[in-house]
Amino acid sequence: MGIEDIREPTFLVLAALADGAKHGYAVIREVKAISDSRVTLRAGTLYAALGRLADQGLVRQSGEEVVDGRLRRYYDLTDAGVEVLAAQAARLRQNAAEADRRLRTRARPVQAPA
Amino acid sequence: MTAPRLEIVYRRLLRCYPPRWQQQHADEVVATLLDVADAEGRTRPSPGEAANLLAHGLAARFGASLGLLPETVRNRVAALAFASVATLSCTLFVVAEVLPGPLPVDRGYRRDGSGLSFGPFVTMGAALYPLPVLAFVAAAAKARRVARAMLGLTCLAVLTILVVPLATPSMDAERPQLYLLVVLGLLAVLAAGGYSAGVSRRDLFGAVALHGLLLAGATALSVSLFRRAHPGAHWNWPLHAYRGYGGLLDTVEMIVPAVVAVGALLATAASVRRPGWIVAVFAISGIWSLLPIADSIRYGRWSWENTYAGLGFLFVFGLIALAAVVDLFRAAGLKVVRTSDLPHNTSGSPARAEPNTFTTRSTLPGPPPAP
Repeated sequence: MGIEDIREPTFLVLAALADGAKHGYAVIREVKAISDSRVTLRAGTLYAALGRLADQGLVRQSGEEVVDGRLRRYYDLTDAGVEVLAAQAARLRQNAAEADRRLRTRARPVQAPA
Repeated sequence: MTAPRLEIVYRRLLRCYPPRWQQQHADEVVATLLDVADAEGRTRPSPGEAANLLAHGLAARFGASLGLLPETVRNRVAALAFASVATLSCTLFVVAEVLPGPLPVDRGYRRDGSGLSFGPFVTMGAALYPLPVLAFVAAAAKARRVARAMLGLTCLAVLTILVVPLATPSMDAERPQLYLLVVLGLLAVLAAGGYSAGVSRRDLFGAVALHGLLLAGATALSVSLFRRAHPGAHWNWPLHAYRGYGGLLDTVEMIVPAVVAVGALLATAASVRRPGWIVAVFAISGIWSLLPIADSIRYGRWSWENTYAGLGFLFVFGLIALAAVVDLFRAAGLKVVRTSDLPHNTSGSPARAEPNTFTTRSTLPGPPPAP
């Protein structure tokens, strides 16, 4: 998968898994926290993204347990997933830095005297 | 709604997904849905959540169904469907909508006497037909996204033309026949669903050329038949192309069986080196064949001759279906081998069959067992 193809929800799912394996509900919570409540993933969207990322070799299942009668299946980044996430983060950082630089050099409008 | 009841509702919603997906993921997804519901203090699924599961489930089912077909076959079906819907729409737009002039007042076909019910056009089809033609122009200009969007709009336009007259029965505008809209809609759905970068422009242009030739021939035949029956009469008055004997649609329906047979022969020749064409012709000609069948039933023209002709056509179509199955296997790289033909390794155990191989047990007598 080329890093150009990653959309924001997919990026956020990868970012949620960056610090370790998580189950579905934990990923939904993390995505909400990372995006400052701007993005709330629904279960259908989350599992479609996880399935796609697993097919692309960026995410793998890393175990499961049953808690209070509910199945928790954990997902983790693969080495390829770590690389893609790092590359995408670097790209976004670079774009943001360039946007900041241009904003700073933007000519300020001259204020008319009172 | 109690937690077990909520779980039952979620499991019902997950039935939208393919059975295999449900076996693998239903338990963990239900657990996640229940966790989210607990956190939000809900006792029933939110409408957004239900719609989300429905949309992703149906998409997974559609994707799973599409995944059964090899990509080459999907591309060929899409190329033929795209060419069919674009050329048929273009011909209908010109012959059935633009060419017919208003009827003379004294003919009194409609209240206004003109026979034009949709502005300067005959039917609401005039709003639909340009869309697939524009899609083809976009595909020719390598604007794939625009082409896909126009094909999607074509599907929507077909649906709108089908629904609007039901919602507003007092509307005066005519619409093309229901079965014609269904055929156009099916072709547009196949084209929109399968059109991708994998569809070769050469295949698309070739298919458009063949369809154009066929429809130009049908139009010429329509003129010739009509002139022979009604010398000196105006050929193409409003609605004649849709419903008249010897009109464009009537002529197309007349030649469909012969064209399907010839198309299958051409596809067989092409599939020797490029498998997948027979499957594509089978799928698309099946849709075209709905035209004469639906027309006969709609206008009560089915008689004993049609039964005999229909049985003959069914036989030919059955042969094409068999050929399509073989072609599909070839396109998928599948082959049938007998276990007696499998190579054996030196350890004496049978070698594993290659992937994509169906294995059958040979019924032929084998060599006598070693003493």
